[in-house]
Amino acid sequence: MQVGLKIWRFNAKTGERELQEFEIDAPEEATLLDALDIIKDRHDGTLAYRKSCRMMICGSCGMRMDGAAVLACKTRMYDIAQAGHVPVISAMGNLPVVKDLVVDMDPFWAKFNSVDPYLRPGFQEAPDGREHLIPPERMTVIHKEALCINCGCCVSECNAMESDPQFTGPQALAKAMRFVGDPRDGHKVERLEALNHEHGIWECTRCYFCNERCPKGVDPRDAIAKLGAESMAEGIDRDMGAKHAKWFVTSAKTTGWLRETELVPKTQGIVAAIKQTRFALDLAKHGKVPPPFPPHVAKDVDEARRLHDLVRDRGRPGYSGIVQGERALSRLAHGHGAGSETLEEIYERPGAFHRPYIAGEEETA
Amino acid sequence: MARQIEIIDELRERYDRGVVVEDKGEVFNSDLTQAIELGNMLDLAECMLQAGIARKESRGAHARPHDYPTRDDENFMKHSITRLVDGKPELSYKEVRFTKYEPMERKY
Repeated sequence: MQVGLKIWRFNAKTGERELQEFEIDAPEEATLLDALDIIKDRHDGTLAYRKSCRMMICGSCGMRMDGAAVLACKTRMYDIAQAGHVPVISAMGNLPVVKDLVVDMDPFWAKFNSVDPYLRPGFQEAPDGREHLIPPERMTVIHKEALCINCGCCVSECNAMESDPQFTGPQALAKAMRFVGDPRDGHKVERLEALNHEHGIWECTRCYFCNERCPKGVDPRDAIAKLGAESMAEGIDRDMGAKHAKWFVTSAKTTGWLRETELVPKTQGIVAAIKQTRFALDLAKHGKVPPPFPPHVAKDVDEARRLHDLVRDRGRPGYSGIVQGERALSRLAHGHGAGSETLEEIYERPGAFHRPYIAGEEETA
Repeated sequence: MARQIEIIDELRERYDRGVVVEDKGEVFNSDLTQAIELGNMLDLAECMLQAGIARKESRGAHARPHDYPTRDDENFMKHSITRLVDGKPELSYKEVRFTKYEPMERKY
């Protein structure tokens, strides 16, 4: 099979960038990584890229294909070559390029280390040497987060990190959730406290690119949502992001609408809001904001209130209130598209993952 | 395995004649590291073959189903240690230290 690739080469010494085209002969089952190996072996030995396991375990070969992050070893070339498409291969984004497709992972590891990515047990070792047993259901909470192989694909695609390189980022935050949600870890509050800083969980813009591009189904954005919910459940809500989210709930509950004019003072505080008065008046002049008084109450506001109470009465604060795993499961079950099976049926497949743990369920089981 | 020794010797000869490293750069030169690793792998393959031929039994992944299909604890309950002496592998053995678990044949 003939495979065409355009590869962005980069020479760190001279700073030169060049788009180089290769036309190679590869077996039909070849992946992008196999194609790169063939290029390096037979066409151009100077091509540089990271690789190791060839089977989606090590997370070395993250790179971009046509602008979207992929694992080279997971990406089959057959369909692409059949379609006559010549994809453009480039290094991952949001990280400095060292050479060709190799990026400097140091900023990535620095953020990874900043969330204490190791278990800090919170229980006393039993004196008689017995094991500390945890029901498997308690671990399925962090099943997705534990799948992470640190390949950097989510960081490459992160829009928030593009505007603030200091943002802790999807990978490190998913890793943080992996320990916040771990029933054996005893430092949940300290961990959440440490994540509620300027460049922490609330800086995520919710673009969902990390969920979209993660090759392992970790769904980092979901992890960040869980961290946010868990922070609020623990009373850590001083961050503007937390206040912002809380105001959405209050506003929807009281009038059934998002009252945008009150959003700024409730989120940023009165002083910051006064500084924005001119901007607000400009917006009002152009009809972009409704006048704040009298507040406009939705006709079916009772419905919004009932919804609010329903969620509250289920008694699932924090991450247990966030339904987990559907996306990863549907992806595993049907490739990328949604299939005809219901969620329940997916869980009942032979060899399927356990149904996600829901707080309080273990007592009834 | 005797045939493999010939193959390795042949590869070694080719390797010693020289490997072309296309990449002359100083940054992330995986062409160079792969060439160095190839030489090391040839060393390792030679050591493994020597120890494998000497170990006249089958144990775990070391399987010789045609000539020595069974495990021989009497003669080979020991670690194979290979050192490169003057460019040639030299085989020696070290006793196994027994701790909490008594070693026994695994049957599946």
